[in-house]
Amino acid sequence: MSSSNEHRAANQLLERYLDPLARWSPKDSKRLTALLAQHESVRRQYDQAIVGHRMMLGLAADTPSALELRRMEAAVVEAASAPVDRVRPWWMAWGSLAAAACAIAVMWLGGLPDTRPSSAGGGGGADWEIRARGGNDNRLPEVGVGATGVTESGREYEAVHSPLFLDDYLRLETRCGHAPFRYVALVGLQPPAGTLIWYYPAKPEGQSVAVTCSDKGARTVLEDEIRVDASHRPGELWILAVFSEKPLNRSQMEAAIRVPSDMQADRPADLTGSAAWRASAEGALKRQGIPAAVQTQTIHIQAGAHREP
Amino acid sequence: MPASEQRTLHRIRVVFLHWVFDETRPRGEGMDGMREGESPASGKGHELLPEDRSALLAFRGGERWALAAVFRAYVPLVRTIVRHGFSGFRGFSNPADQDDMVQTIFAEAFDQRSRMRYDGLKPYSAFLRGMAHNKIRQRLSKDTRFARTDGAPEPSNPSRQTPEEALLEHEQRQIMANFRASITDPVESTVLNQYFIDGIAEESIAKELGITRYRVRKVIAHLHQRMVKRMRECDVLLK
Repeated sequence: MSSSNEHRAANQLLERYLDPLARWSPKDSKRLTALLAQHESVRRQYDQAIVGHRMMLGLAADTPSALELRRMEAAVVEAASAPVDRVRPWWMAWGSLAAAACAIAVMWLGGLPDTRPSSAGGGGGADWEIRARGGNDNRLPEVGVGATGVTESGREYEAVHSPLFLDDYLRLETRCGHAPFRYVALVGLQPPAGTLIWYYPAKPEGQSVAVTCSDKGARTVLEDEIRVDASHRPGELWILAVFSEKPLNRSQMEAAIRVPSDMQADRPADLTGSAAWRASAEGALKRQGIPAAVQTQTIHIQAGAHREP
Repeated sequence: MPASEQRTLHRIRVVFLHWVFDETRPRGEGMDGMREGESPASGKGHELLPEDRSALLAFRGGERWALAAVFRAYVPLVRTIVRHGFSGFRGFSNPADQDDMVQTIFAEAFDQRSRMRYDGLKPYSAFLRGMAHNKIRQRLSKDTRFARTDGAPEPSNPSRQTPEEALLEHEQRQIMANFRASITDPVESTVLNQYFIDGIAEESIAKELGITRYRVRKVIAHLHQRMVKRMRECDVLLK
């Protein structure tokens, strides 16, 4: 490797080392250590960058920042922790690749939604049913809800087609392609007999939150990250999203959303699971005369924390 | 996570933060004049190992949380040895050597054989100190790790220069030093201090500022971008 190549390689590694949101692995640490060991000029490059960074933070040249200490800790601890923590069998690696490919292919948002088309018309009020464009129910719905897992270190992972981990955080996102329905309320439920988990509104006095809508289906990231272990347990989690024209308060939502043991009267007999839950909510909202579109998403919660690659 | 692990981690966090606050003081006011025996690693008499039996067992088993806890508890001690030296050795002067040595010592200490060799009776700081001294002696006697292969001259290290002066031009130092003053937004300033310097978790910062963790990360990313930009302007990072 020529000297300039070494400097470029070291520079790349240094940029990652100092980037708090980038992952720093033992492998990265090893590569940087090797470059430092072999080239005095790279060591000077390292010293300049590190001292410069410390100066910008107002630290003395020989005082590492908390970020640097986290890097050192990550490299040392990860390299030394029990192998069962780190080694994955080859089939799991291939499985992850396949899962990622599937996730990309299907699209995370609105991907694999509950496929039951909304029951048309009937009930009181306007015909507020949200249907797929062109009346083709096989196409993606105009509203959707997505879930992202976020690790303690801030790394994000897809949590709809792969498990969400109990020790991580849950972040919800919406997709809205129907402009009038620009408010969303989100509730979780863990079957078979779970209690309701209120995401939005989180507090009894709260209301549903505004989201962005556009004809093409605008995406809105709801910024709260919910600590999963605070209110969830391993197993299936249904998330129900109610998109409405006006913000809904908690009592309106409570009137519409039943737990499974209490929703027999509202759902069609042929539906089960989250589809039944959705149908139950649609029926109740319709009876209240609230124009709304309802969508559900099912995710799976697993014990532990997401293992970073 | 079991309650005992949570308690241990909480205790480590307290000791760690205590140390970090000390570390960020100007030279001479904080840790720099500290004698080895007064390492805050022991938390004024408290030793994580062997006092916390659950941590000790998990440490021996190579459990990640215990290794992290031990690293946080004892990194001040190791850094003190590396920076200030011992028995005639005056310590490593530049960050590359210091940082590398700290990691080398912990890599050795976390090796399975070393973990098993620790008897679990004596204070771990004594065991680690002995290991650190040996590791540094080995490095000094071999000195092969820093064998120079690119023909660069020996670095001059005039004794009257500070490390900043030895490494950076006057103008570069000015630009770097002015960065903190350029952060006037209160949220950015808090995130800069608490996240980058004090090592406080994003969640706690979010709680204190009344914003989401996601927003905290956006601020962290923004601050990092600005720092990188400034480092490139100063030719400290490649453009």
